[in-house]
Amino acid sequence: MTDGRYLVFAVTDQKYALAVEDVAEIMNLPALYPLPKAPAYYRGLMNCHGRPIPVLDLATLYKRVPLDKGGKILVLEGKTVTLALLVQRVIGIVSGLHSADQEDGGDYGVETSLSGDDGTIRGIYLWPRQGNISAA
Amino acid sequence: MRIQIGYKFILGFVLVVAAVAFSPEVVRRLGYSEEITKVLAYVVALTIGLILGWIFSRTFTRNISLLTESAEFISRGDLTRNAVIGASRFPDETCDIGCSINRMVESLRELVRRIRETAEKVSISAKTLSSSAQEINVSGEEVVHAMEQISRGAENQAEMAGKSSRIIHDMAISIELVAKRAREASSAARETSSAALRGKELANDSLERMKSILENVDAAGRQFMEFTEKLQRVGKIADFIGEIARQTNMLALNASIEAARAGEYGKGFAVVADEVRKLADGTGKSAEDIIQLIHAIREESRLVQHAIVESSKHINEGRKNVDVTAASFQDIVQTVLETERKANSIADLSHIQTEGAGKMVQAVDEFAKMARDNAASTEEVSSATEQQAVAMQEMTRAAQELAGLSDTLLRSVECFTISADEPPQP
Repeated sequence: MTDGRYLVFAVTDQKYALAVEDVAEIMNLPALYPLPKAPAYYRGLMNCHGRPIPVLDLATLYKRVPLDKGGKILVLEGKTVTLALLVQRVIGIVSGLHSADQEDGGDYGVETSLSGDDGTIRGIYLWPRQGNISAA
Repeated sequence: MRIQIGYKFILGFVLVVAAVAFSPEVVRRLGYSEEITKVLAYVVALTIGLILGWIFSRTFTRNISLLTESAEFISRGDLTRNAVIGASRFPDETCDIGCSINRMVESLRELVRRIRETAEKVSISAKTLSSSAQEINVSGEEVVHAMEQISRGAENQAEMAGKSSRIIHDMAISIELVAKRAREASSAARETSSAALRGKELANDSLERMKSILENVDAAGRQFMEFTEKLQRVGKIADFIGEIARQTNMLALNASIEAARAGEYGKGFAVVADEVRKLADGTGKSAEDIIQLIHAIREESRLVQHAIVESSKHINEGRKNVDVTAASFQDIVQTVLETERKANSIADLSHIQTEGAGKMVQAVDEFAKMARDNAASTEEVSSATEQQAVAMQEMTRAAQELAGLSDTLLRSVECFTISADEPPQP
C-alpha cells in the first residue's frame, strides 16, 4: 500500500492509518450495549442506522488500557463483516504514505509502519487485499 | 479761868499793895504802941507781901522749871517725856508753853519716826537700787553683747539681702526669658495649629478624593464584571463555533469517506469535502484560539479583578487611615490650641512673675537698706547701751552713796529717842 488515501487516527498517542475505502462512517460515541462474558476490548453493541454492530476498543486491544472517555467510532464496512472501532480521535485523511518495512503477522492486523510527514504511522490491514490475510 | 501772867503779876502787886495798905490799919486795931505798930505794920505788910509773892510765884516757877526740864530732855534728844504741867485753877502762858512743847515733842517724835522709817526704807531701796543697778549693768553688758551680735547679724543680713537681690534679679531675667520662650512656643503652637488645620482640610479633601476613587474603582469593578460576563458569553459562542467546526469536520470526513467509497465518481466531491474539512479545521482552530484567548483574558481579568478588590480594600483602609489622620489632626488642633493657651498663660504668668520679681527686688533692696540701717541702729543702740552701762554704773555708785547717806541720816536721827524701851543714844 504505497498509494491511496488513508484515514489517520490516534489511540493513546499512537497514530494508526486505515484505507479510506475500508471506512464507512465516522460517528460520535453513541450509547453502547455491553454483552456479558465478552472480552475486555469488546465494548458491546451499538445502533448504527438500525443495525447492531460490535464495537472494539483499540486502546484496550493494543495498549491493555481502556479508553477512559470520549472517543470516536469508526464504522468499518467490509464485504464479510461490519464492525466499529472505538478510537481516541480522528486526525484526518492523508495521502502519500510510504511503507517503511513490511512485517507480517502482528496482533490484529497491524502489519506495517508507514512514514508520514509527521512521524511513523502504523498501518492496519483489516481484510485480505492482494491476497494476504494477517488478521483473524 | 485763864489769867495771863502779866495780869497775875498786876493782881499780886495789887494784893501786896492792898495788904501793905491795909496792914497798918489791922495792926493799929491790935492796939500796940505807935512805934511797935509802925514796925509791926511794916513787918506784917512785908510778910504778907512775901507770902503772897511766894504764893503767886510758886506755880509759875514750878511750871517754868518743868518746861526747862522738858526743853533740857528734848535738847538731849530724849523725846520720850512730855512736859507735865500741873492742873491749875488759873492756867497761864506756861500751860500753853507746856502744851506747845508737848505738841512739839509729839511732832518731833513723829518726824523722827518718819525720818527713821523713811531712811530705813531709803536705805533698803538704795540697796535694792544698787543691786538692781548692778543687775541692770550686767544685763546692759549682755545687751551690749547681744547688740554686737545683732549688729553683726544685721550686717550679715544686709549682705545676704544684697545677694538675694542679685539672685532675684537673675531670676527675674530667667523669668523674662521663660516668658519670651513661652511666647515663641505660643506662636509656634499657633503656626502648628494652622498647619494642623490645613492638614485636616487636606485629609478631608483626600478623604473625598478617596471616596470618589473608591466609587470609580467600584464602578470599574462592576464594569469589569460585566465585561467578564460578556467574555463568558463570547467564550460560549466560541465553544459553540468550535463544536460546529468539529461537527463540520466530522461531516467533511464522512463526506470524504463517502467520496472515496464512490470511487471515480466521487473524486470531485472528495475535493469539496476536503475543502470543507479544511475550512472546518480552520474554523475549529480559530475557535480554539478564541477560547484560549478568552481563557488568557479571563485569567488576566481575574488578576485585574483581584487587583481591583485589593486596591478597593487598600483604598478602604487608606480611607480609614485618612479618617484617623483627620481625627488626629483634629486632636492635634485641640492639643495645640490647648498648648497655645497654656503657653500664653505661662507667658502672662511669667510677666506677672517678672513684675513680682521686680517688686521682690525692690523689697529685698529695701530690706537690705533696712538691715544696714538696723546694723547702724544696733551700733547706735550698742553705744547707747554702753553709755547706759556707764550711767548705770554711776547710778550704782549714786545708789551706794544714797545708801550711805540714808545710813548717815539714820545715825543722825538715832540720837532721838522716841519710845521708853529704847535707851537714849549718847
